[in-house]
Amino acid sequence: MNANYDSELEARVDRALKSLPPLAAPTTLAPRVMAVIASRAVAPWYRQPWPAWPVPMRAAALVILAAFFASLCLGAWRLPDTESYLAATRHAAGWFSGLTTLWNALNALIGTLAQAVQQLGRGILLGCLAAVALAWATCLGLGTACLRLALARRQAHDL
Amino acid sequence: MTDAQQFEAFLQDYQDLVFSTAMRLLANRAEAEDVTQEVFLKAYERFGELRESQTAGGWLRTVATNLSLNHLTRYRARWSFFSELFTRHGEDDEESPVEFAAPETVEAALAASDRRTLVEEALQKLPPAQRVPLVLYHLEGLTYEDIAARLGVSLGKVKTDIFRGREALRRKLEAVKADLLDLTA
Repeated sequence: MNANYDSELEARVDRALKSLPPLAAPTTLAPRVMAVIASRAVAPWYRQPWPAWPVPMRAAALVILAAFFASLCLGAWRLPDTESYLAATRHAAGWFSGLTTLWNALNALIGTLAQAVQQLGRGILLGCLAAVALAWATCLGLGTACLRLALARRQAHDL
Repeated sequence: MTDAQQFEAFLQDYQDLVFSTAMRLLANRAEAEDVTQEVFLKAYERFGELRESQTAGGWLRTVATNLSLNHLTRYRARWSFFSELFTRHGEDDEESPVEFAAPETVEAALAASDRRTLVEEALQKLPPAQRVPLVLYHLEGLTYEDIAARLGVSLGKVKTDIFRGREALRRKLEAVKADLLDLTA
């Protein structure tokens, strides 16, 4: 394929595609769109998109959101000094101690498994790895074959 | 004339343009109709600006393109992953010509309007991996770089897919003796 061929083909395809007239939209389209618009118009304001809310409602929503954000900020600033927060922190620490115990047990288990693997010969390990790789390749191959078969059947059906 | 009536007239003016854009990208009438409806619902929210705008057509076309591409990525999430399979499948399909009415109507079918119909059909039968970048390049005027960015694929893949799309289109049309050069005559 030379550059002249490419540019000539590009120009021909460009002309052919740009000469295409618009496709006629289905006759059902306009009534369908107008029906959706009409149904939205009769919906209550709180079920409409935010920009379509009445101005006082939008203003009220903004004030409420701002107040909520301010209270969150204030809470985050003042909460660490309160007694209830300290009590909650101590309570949470109890939960985390349970998690720490679990983590230690998991670590011990992993360490034991690692030692057991080290005891096995290199040949056994390589054999296991090869078996896993073979199983993976088989799954991939079968999956690809099934997919191509499905696509070929669908394409044949479409034609 | 009420707002709703004005919008309905606006819709009638632009519905073919928007539907064509969606249809050529999606190659599916039902999906193109859904996307067109979504475009006009967005247009209705901004009708105040659009009704007086000289660029309403461009805005509608851009929104239709964006929504169609979103639709492709959302509902055909594996499109990109499987695009190579589709591409190869399309290449295997070299000998399948565009279907047209009946052998005795060949002469009539090659009249200009029918030849355009053949191009339209051939375009819609291209695999998505070729059709989408081809439409974005030739009909929507995007650059190769823009297309690569929009589709999330490499620049090389975009160029290859567009070239394969042009070749597939040429082969399909040659198979029905509709030379691309004649199509614009």
